[in-house]
Amino acid sequence: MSAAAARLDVRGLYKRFGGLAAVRDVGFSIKAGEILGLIGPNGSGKSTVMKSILGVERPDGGSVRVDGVEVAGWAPHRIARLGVGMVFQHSRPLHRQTVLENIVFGLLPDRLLGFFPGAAVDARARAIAERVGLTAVLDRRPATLPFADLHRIEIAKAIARNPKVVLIDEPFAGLTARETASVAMLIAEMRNDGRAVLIVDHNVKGISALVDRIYAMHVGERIAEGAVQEVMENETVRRVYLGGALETAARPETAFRDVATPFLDIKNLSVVYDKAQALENVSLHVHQGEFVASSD
Amino acid sequence: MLRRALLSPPVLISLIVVLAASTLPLYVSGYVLGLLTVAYYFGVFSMAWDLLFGFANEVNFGPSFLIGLGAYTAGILDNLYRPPIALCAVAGVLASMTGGVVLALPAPRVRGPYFGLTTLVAVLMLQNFVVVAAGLTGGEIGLTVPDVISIDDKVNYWIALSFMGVSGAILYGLSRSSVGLILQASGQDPVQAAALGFNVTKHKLAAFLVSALFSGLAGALMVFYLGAASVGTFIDVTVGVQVIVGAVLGGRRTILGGVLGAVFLVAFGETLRPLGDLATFIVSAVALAVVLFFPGGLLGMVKGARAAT
Repeated sequence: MSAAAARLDVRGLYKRFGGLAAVRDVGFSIKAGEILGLIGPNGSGKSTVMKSILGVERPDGGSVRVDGVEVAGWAPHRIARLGVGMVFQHSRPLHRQTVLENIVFGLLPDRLLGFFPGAAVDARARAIAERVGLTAVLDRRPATLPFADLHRIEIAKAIARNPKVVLIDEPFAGLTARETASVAMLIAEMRNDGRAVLIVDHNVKGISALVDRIYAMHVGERIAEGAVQEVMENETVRRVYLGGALETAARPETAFRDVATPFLDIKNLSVVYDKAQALENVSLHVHQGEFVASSD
Repeated sequence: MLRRALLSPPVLISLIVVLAASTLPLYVSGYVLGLLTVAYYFGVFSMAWDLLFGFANEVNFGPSFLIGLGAYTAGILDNLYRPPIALCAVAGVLASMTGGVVLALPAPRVRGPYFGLTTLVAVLMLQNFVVVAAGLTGGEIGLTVPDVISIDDKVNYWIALSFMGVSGAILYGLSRSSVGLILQASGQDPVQAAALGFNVTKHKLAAFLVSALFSGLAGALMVFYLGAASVGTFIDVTVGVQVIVGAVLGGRRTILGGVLGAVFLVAFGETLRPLGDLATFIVSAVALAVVLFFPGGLLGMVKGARAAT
């Protein structure tokens, strides 16, 4: 792929925090209408890559090009104006404003003498709300909305400026299965609109159905890159995620003395933090003398 | 949107209150008018402070730095050359706005409490300067200015009331406008605001300038009402505390609450005056209780009561 055709082109990115090299020689490019999944366990440097593209962190080396324009080291608002949008994982909407006003905010020009947004902005905000499925709650305040709707507000704000490149941080964290499907549809729409989309996630499986390619990182470096299947079968990726080939030595459940009443018995456990769904219908039982590990 | 903002309940109620307040000189004593005149200037101080803290989320413990710069610059200029009062006031505003820029300089580097500390130090430095440069500033004794706006209580009262009304309208309008929205978002989450293409530094600096403009102008006008400036009335940390308590008491992030808080502090303090030093203590205790148990302040309590019915 030639760099010229890429909407987002990252080459040889380096970022150090003191003595720690958080990102070493990371590079990838995303074309218009393509979704790249940037995956890696916690601490792998994927968030630092995202922040470096956004300009929140200043890279120590390498280049970040948006439509061929070098933006490495620019202030975030300038990078944003060039066409990079971001969907944050933790939404922090304006709580005293309505949903509509929150979307209008995303559309405002960066001027000191802009006092009233005008009818055109209002109409655009309503059109965007319609697209992301917020029309029914336009006059509500964010505090009264479910988590998925807050996420929709974030998506609405991110696409308000019609960005060429959209960065999305853990899009499905805290969503129920149904909400996940609807957010996935919105992300697929971004692709259909010809935007270059970068999804950052620690979970390969969650995004595998959505992304065109995957770039896997571990301790600041690339460990694999390519089609989803290819990356998931990659030996290094498997080792990083599962600690090598998954070998279990499961004993039959009848072998335990407390078959009828397990030592720990969890049935259909759901946990919600604030509004985020942390667990949904999790069931698990552990017998005395049994070793069970949980991984996501 | 503009029409809706102009006809919203807070605007209509404020308008009625200001109109009612303008008739006060017809039936209250000059003493009460004098108290309210000062309260109105403090109301502007509190509103200007609320724009910085409540909207830009900048912890400014030094409102009296901006107020003092405006007041003393205007006073000193009048004392030295006796130009028209308006010119002195303009000079005061310019000095205060310069001070606003100086105050804002460390903001990108130090955050939260540390930034608050730098603003506090600014107040102490200004206070020290006034004392050291006594020949120019009158030092600890204070500065007497040769000119006053008027010697008529009623005229002074009406000037203060109109000034507060106009300042309140502008500051409230700003807070509810598009730039107010951007400012609020920049204060709440600068990273996200920048990711949407907003130059956070520019908007915060503008907030400092606007806040300084109104603080400085109110300070200058108050000097020409009192006919004197002293550290104790314009710069001392306790002045800053009163401004902040007024804003928080009235309801932070409301702008208009600043006036309510300032008038409340003055009126309540005056009612309790027979108790002597105990009055200050009681006023402070009540203010503390409101801040602790009603974080929304007086306006927040009103809104809460309205929502409950």
